[in-house]
Amino acid sequence: MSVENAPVVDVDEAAIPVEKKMYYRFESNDKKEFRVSELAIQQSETLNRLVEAMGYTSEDVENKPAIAIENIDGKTLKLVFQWCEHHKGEAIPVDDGSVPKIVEIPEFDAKLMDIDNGLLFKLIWAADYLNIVQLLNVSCKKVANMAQGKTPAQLRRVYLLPSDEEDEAAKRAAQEAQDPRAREVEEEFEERKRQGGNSFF
Amino acid sequence: MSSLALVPFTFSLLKLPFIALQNVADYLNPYEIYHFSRISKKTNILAKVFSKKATRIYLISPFCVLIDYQEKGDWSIEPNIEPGPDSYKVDRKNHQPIYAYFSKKPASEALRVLERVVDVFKCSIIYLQLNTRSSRLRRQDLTSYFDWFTVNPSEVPYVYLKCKHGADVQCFIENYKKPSDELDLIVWGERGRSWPLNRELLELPDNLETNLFKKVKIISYKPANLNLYNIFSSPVIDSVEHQLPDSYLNTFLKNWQSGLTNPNWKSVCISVPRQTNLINILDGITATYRDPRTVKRQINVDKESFWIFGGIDIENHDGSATATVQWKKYKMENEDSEVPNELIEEYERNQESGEVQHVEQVLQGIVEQLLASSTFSMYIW
Repeated sequence: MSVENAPVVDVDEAAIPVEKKMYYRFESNDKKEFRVSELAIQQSETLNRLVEAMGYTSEDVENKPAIAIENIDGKTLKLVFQWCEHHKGEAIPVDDGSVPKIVEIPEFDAKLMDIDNGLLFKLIWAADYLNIVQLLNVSCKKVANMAQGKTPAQLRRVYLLPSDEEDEAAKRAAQEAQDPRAREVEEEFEERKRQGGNSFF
Repeated sequence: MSSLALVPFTFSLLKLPFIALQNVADYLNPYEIYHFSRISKKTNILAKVFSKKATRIYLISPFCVLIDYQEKGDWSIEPNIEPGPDSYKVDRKNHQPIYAYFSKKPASEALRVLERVVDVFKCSIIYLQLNTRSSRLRRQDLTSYFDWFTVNPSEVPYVYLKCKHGADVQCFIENYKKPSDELDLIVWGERGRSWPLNRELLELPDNLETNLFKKVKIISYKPANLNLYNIFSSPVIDSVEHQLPDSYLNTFLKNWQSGLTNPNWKSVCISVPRQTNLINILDGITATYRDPRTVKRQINVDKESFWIFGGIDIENHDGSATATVQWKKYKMENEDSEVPNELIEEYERNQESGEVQHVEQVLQGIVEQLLASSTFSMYIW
């Protein structure tokens, strides 16, 4: 995708200080390109460190290849950068130790996260990977809200939590997958049972 | 229709990265964490990893378990009287959060809840608050609690026991076996015209004794029974006696002199919510007034250190121990604190006339008179 055709996230020009008016280009793992303001990038500790280390000039940003973000797809990265642009310049929040932790989900964030749970899952992964503290906060808060008023049985269904029996079965399956001999022994055992043997030995 | 109505309802929580999972857990309230811990062995382990450590846990009679985060709030879990599914209310603006469940055996279920909560919220400091006047708490429930504490490794720094009969005190002393820093024992009367004051005597057997508590506080609304004090082999005894005549305090001192009181006491402070007369209290007792300007002694009791200036010394029958009697309000912060004029005047008056006298300031207002409380203090050397 050319730079000219890259999707640009809505930018509030007035909120950007003159000296910071530089846009970096990023590319998702499915080759979608995004132009993101320097101030918005500051919401992500990972990207902020990365661009600082690169030390790009305005010319570098336009002429060098877009910075690849290998493990986030375009649909998710679009949400991430929309969020960063909307919240650019805001202070990174500090946990006050409340029980439970208190975070309000702003209207913009609520609309941004009006998405299916699969995409929400990817958004949390991206916020964690890019170390965007407040995006991680609001997205995790949304997941936590799913637990409200639920019984343990309902929680199990909502969060896809395996029972002890399912955990045991998964553990056995993993062990067998790691040890082909175990599967052979079991198959031999089944074969002998079919042949009418009472004992394996 | 919201677009969310069409999306899958489920979320693969355990596939989140660790930090995100911790973040989700931070937004779960203690009841949701508690639910989470009960789903499987794995979620139980995760709940313990992710839960915020409680400051302390309370077991409050009859069957309430309370998770305490101090200024961050309390979360109580207690049984409903009526059958019904588990439920909880978290409306912190108007009420304390409460989780309700139903059990036909609420005492044993409360102990199971207590065990889970101690485990999940990583806090083995339990405060015990029992009221034997609760009609729902049977004697066998009480003993099951005491048995649980005897075998459970949790630390119990504080026990609060509110009771009305000597039999309740006896049951507690005979069955509770966990060492604790402090016991607060409140002795109430039956509801009546002068409630909570009560004329009924507290009847106790002679052989009761415990050395489990470093400090005992007694608040009694019944006629004083100084045998109750003798039960406790604790260095520090603090009390408020609502029905304690000066003559009884006089007997108390004479008993101490004769070796009839508990020999392990180091400090006994008895507050009487009225003005007392020291002349009556020391009647027939040989006492030596100490000059508060020159005799300054440091007292170290129950993690507290302070000074007393002067005071009245009395000796026991064989001269092996001295008790200094004074009023608690004259506790001094350090050796160089200013000597109160009242103490000097009292001392000089005694030197001139030879009389033992305690002068209380004349109280002007009704409120001041109501608040008048003389704390008779005895420090034993």
